[in-house]
Amino acid sequence: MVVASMDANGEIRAAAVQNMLRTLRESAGLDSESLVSTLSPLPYGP
Amino acid sequence: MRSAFLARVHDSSIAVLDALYSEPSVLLPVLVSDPAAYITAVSEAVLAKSSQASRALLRAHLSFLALHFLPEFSQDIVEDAFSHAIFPFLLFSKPKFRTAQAVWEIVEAAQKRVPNSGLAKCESLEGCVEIVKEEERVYSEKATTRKDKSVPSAFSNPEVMRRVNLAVASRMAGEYGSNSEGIAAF
Repeated sequence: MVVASMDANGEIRAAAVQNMLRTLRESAGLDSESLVSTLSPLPYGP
Repeated sequence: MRSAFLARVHDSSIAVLDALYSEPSVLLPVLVSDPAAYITAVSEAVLAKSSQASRALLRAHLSFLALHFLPEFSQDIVEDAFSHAIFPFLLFSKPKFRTAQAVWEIVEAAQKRVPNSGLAKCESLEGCVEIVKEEERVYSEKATTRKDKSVPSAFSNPEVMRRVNLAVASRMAGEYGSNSEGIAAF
């Protein structure tokens, strides 16, 4: 159960990272604050 | 922005690292402005006790570092990254020979793909891949002669491990000849 939860959190964090990379790629002019906000809310990571 | 990515470098989920390193051309410009920060983060991540069990995590970090990040930098930064993040995994031991083998494969791939910079220009590594390959070749030839098919990897053999470790350490210390005669001496 705990392992499944950790895996799910990892998938969520991975998706957040992908979103951030996509935003970075598509919006070179976007300010840093807006980009960082794409990572929130993240589940607690290691 | 960089700090958000650096925080994910410490993530112990391979899914996160696969995502993080999935687009090197997008990630690289974010990291190159402060190479020391990324090198420190990677070094901490690969040496962390929690990640020692995962060869996949190590492979993800070191592949990006060797193939994409280090070719962008001067020799002193390459040497720094090598000594902190790569060298700790290069020596063979019975429990860690697969890890060492994987890291040597990454080093070789990086040197081949980018022959004019990065690890290809790392002084500490000069000639070391050739030593490893030669020891593997000699062992494989002997195994073929003996028709010995029971050993899957040359590097699982304690004698090969010992010879490679000694030769690599000697080369790094500047005490090893550059021709193949040096190998036969061990």
